[in-house]
Amino acid sequence: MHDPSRTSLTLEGFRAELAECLFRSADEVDLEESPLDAGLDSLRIVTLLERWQAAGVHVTFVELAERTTFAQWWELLTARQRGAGHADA
Amino acid sequence: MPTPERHPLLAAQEGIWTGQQLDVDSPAYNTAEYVRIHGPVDTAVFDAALHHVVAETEALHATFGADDSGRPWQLDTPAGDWHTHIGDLTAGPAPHAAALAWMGQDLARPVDLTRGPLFGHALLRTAEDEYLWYHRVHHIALDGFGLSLVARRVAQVYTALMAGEPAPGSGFGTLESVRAEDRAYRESARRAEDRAYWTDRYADRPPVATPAGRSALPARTFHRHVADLAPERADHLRTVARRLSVTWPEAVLAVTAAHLHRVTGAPETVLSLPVTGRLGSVSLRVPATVRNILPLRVAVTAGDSLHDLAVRVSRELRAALPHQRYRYERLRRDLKLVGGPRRLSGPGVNIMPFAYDLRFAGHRSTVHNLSAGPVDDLALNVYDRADGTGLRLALDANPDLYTVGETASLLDGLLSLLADAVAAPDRRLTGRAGGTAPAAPTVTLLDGGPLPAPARPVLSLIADHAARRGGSVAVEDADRSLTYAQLFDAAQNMAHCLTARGVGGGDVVAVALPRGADAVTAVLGVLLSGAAYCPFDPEAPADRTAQLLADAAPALVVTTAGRAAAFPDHPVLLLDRQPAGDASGVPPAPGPADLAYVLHTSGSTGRPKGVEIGHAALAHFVAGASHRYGLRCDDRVLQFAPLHFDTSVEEVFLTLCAGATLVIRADDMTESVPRFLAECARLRVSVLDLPTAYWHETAYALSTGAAALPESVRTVVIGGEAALPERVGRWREAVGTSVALLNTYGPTEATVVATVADLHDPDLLPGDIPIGRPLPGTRAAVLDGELYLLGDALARGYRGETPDSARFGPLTALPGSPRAYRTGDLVRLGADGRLRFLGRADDEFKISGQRVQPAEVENALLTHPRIREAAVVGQTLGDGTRRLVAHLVADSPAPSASEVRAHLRAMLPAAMIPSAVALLDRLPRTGSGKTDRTALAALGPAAAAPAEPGLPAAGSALERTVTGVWQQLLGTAAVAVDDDVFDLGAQSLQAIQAANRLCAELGRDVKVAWIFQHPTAAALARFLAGTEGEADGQGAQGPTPPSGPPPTLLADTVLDPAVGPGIGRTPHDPLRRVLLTGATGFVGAHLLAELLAATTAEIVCTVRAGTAAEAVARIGAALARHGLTLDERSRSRVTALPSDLARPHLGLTRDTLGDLAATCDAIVHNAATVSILRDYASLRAANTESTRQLLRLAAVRTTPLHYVSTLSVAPPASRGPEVPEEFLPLHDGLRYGYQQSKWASERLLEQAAGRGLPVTVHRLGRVVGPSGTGYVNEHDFLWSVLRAGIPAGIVPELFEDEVWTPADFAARSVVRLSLFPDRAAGGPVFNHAILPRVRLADVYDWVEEYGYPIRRLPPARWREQLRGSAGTAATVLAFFDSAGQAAPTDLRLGHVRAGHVRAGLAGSGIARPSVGRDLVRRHLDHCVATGLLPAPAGPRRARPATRST
Repeated sequence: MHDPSRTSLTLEGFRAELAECLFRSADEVDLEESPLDAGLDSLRIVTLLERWQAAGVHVTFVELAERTTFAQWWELLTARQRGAGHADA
Repeated sequence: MPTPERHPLLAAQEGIWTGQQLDVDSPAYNTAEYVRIHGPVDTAVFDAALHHVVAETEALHATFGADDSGRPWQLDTPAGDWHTHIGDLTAGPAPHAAALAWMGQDLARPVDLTRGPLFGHALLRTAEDEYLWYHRVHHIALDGFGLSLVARRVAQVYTALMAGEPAPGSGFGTLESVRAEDRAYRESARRAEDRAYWTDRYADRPPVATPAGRSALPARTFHRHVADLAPERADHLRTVARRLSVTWPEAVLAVTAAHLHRVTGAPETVLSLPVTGRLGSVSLRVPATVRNILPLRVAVTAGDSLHDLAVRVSRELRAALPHQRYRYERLRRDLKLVGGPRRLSGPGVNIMPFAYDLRFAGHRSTVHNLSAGPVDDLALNVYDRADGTGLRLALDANPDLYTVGETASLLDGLLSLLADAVAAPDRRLTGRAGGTAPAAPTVTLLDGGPLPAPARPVLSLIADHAARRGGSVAVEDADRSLTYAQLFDAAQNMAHCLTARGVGGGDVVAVALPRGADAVTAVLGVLLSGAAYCPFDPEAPADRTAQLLADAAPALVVTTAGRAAAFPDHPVLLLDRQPAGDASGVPPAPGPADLAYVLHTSGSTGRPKGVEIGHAALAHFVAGASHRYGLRCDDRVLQFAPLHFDTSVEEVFLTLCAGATLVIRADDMTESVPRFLAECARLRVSVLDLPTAYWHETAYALSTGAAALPESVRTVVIGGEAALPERVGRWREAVGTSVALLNTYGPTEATVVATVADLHDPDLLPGDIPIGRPLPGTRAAVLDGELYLLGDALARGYRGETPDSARFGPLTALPGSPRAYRTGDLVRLGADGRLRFLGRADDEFKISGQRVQPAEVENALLTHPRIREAAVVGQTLGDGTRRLVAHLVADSPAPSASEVRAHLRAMLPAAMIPSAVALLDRLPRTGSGKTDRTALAALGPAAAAPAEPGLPAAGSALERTVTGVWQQLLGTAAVAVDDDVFDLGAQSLQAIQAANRLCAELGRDVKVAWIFQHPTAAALARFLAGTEGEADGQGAQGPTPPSGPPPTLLADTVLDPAVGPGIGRTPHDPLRRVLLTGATGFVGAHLLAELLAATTAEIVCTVRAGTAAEAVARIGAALARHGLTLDERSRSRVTALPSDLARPHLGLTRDTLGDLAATCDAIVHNAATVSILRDYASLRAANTESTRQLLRLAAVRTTPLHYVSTLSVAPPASRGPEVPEEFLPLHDGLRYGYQQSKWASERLLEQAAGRGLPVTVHRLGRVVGPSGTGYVNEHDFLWSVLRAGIPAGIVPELFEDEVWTPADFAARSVVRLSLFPDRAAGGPVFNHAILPRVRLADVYDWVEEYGYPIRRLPPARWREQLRGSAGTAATVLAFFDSAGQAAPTDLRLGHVRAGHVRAGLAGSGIARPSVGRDLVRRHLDHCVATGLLPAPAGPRRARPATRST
């Protein structure tokens, strides 16, 4: 599953994945919106999570679910992506 | 002790707390799961990990209580000393099943929220390397997500400990942070927005359709049916969902909605969706209860595909999810959907889309849910399997609404629809072929299959028999018999006469003849003439006859000379003066389209209506029914029915078309059932066709042995009204299943019979009475619960115009809109494809919004042993009040109205309990033998006395009290007696407050559930008035004792009718096996020792224990505690049986119970939970139900049962000067739960004794330790008083004297009187009171002599001075507080008669011990030695000269 060649997650890709999940176009995704208000449910969050994990970024469900904007998700993802090289605990 | 800190409940907890208050003894809020660990587990380390995690989980250290206003609070209460149940089940035969059984038992134990602990853990080893970790927690502490946080944490801590590392930090947040978030939300603008969304979306309060079609309060248990979706099917579901751009749970929701639509036919489904409510919340890291429920409305139309529905669901869900924090309970209040049957949403769908894949020190595990909380209606739980492949579907159903079979078939239906939907997501899911109408209601079609051969005209069949087997007997009427040839000749002769009179095709001929060979001849003659016959009751009153004549307009009346005067204006053919016919004018045979007969039934307008049956229909029916009944030419069929009942059509034509013999019943044959059956035997009848009402009598007589079914009878056909389950049970018991018992159903309009069920089918569950499947050639359709019949056996219609003609018409819900007859009967189609009759659509009666079918109430009434017949009708009184009236025929002594109602209350919801009960000598019947409900309804309100005297009139004092309470609570003066308080905005909390206040104002128990069940003051007052007379003899006005007999008490004291002497037993002397309960108790240990000494039998002791080893250890400990030692041989005769008397079947398996019933020669039932404080409800299972269970067991082989009771079941001296040595009727001295539970047991034994079961009852006084040991039972009331008072130097003057019985003497006496009785001594009740009474003043003197300085005080002052003490004193004071002022002086018994005991022990050589100073001194020694009392400070002194007071 873990393909090291796919470890680069871009903001564009992030928006595109959210857009698909939210039935919107990428430019309609408001990063300041909360996942709750966007009508996300646990399963959709897990679906996104699995994609990012497959891309080599390790985040947990609770970490995503407790954040209140998509912008905070992106912060978390980029921080984890940077640290991914040495965080294989 | 410092007051624990208290906190308001989280919003999510409030609903759960309220729900639990509705039924405090319900275990339904226990949620549980187990984790199957695939690998070895170090149980000690696991236990340590569990304790570690429990300690850090705040939510588990709590109890709950309400303040004076009824507001609930969570109290910080450490869970204290708790234990993990660790068991190794690998030695047993089926470890996994045993583990599940253990879990089931644990899960069924209710949690006391006021005491805790709220959780439980077990670790059960089920294989070499497999453990099940069971985790139960009350829903008020944790929700599903919270449970998963705890499970994950346990895995983490265990893994760390196994690695020798310290446990990492939990990362759990605080409960306070969740509370703060809860508070912030309550005051937020966000909440207002959320509220606006919901109240707008549900402003129309959509009707909630469910398969059951009605609602019920949440039950204590649920049926669960589980199915697994294989990995490839689950994958397919996921793939299809992705393709449709929805999630797979949305696809499951869509299919669920579609399935419910298919079952209910409702155009919209409202599902209940549990949601975690944790997105963006601190509670993601806090084990707590936060979850909420969302209503999800889904419109479903006939053309919808999975694609359509899933997208609709997804859209609805996305719109709703942002508002998921707004509380469901709150929304119900906003929408005024609280109380009664009002619902916001229906079946639940709980989807856990991801499983937690936990590792325990590297070992894999799988999680299995056991209970997700109470089930209101249906709840579909979908679990992702931990291996990430398949799905598990568990459908939970409320057992009050669904049977096990229905639950299974609902899940089956859902799974098959899911498979169809996934296979073709764009194909319509719900529509039917050709159906274009929008949202056509669901119709279910049952087809009886084709006729075995084309139907032949009846006349042609009979002519064939006359031609081929002309000499065989067609009709036997008393001494006269007609062969087929003779019958056919006579009929032809008659036809010729009719032809000669100008009668023929198209005409109707009235036949007014009594049952008999002539009548049969006449009927055939009319048919041969080409005319149709119309039977007239020759005994009918003139105006009825006139009505029928006007309707039928017969061309001719065939009757006898004696009856001709009844038909003055009509041409008459006198059968007794019939001229020989002229054979020249042979009439043509009637065609299939011609009319065969006209039969009158009562119409909805009250006027009779003539049903016209054609020859084709008659032939069709005869072909189908003959085949179904298996009629043969050697059968002898009794003609029971007169011609004007359509059963006669079945009897006459089925018999003659089969070439069999019709045996005419003589009128006097039915004088009595024994006579009837004796005559049937004499006439060698093989087939009986009986009206169900008469068959009920027959079944009863057979069951009592008053009559016997003749050997010749091989088939009994019944029909005409619903067969009573109770009578079917009796029949099956008496007759077995070798005689065919066919339950038939059919309106005259569908030619006699349409459906048939084999009631002799051994697979039928008791109480299940189907009407079966359609006859061959007939079809049945169920639409909105109502039955429609289709096929060639339908009548042509009604004669003349009647509003009922609309009942015949095309059924547009079916393809091709075939002609159907709408029966007006409500039915249910079982999973087995058989129909069940529910009642008449127009009998259904609505009370408090609930639909009541009288038949259901009648069936419950008939389970009472002395109720013979019952008919329940709805009545609307002059003031608009609606009530149910039960009309009963009862055996003497007839049960009182209160007894009847108490009996019903154990089985039926309150709305279904008749408020009036009337006793009749017999039920009025219609001419056809059916219960005449019209006549009953017409009896009017006056005829049926209200169930209790003092039924309040409108605006009664009771109603005013109720409205007064509501006016205060709702803050408005505008509460009328008929206002539904929930419509006025009442909330659950206020319902609880109302119940509390009413308890206080009325001085009686008022349950919160009653407020919900009776939401108007009028209804509640009526209900309360109805339950009151049973509460005590004083009525509402007098002061009521602290706890008068609870309403369940009387219901509990009815012994099931089935318990009676079973197979006679050969008495075994010496006894081989004796069952003893309560062997680990005070008296029990001595009983065990005495049984071992006095007999050579094996003594089987029931012990509450998990394992046999534990049980043995407990017995050993009990014997040791009481200073009893056993030698090796005695010890080997003791068998310890792990059990729990408070559980159904005593916590034993059926096999064990059966074995005990078969092998025990005597039962000594001594076990009881002794408590001065507990109420009846909490003692009934252990103390009363156990007796019922043991009586059932004893009855199997008529095993003697000896019961250890208490003298405290008797009324105190103030209410009865003497305690008789016999069973006691209900009295108002029964005030405490323990007393009540023992009295209830005695009451059961009284009934058993009355039925001839060998039972004895042994009432003991205060059981004290033998002088040998001086043992003091620390739970004993008097010793509790002494232990509280002596250290404080004060004792209360409670009573003058009382009966003491040393335990060893009691045991010796009981064993002697039970097992070696002197028959002349009497019984079965024994008052063990032959020792001199002990005076309390003397006891206090002896205590002083022992060295304790004490002052004697009146009880009230004693309590006053003792207040503030802790420990024992607190318990004792609590008892006095609960007992009220009057109680303590009320404890003394009058003179106790003990003649039976005295006589029984005479010459036994059992020495009477002395109870006095020496014994008390030994008791005090014991107390000092064991620390129950401090050693006396002063030296022992002589009896003081004066007393201080």
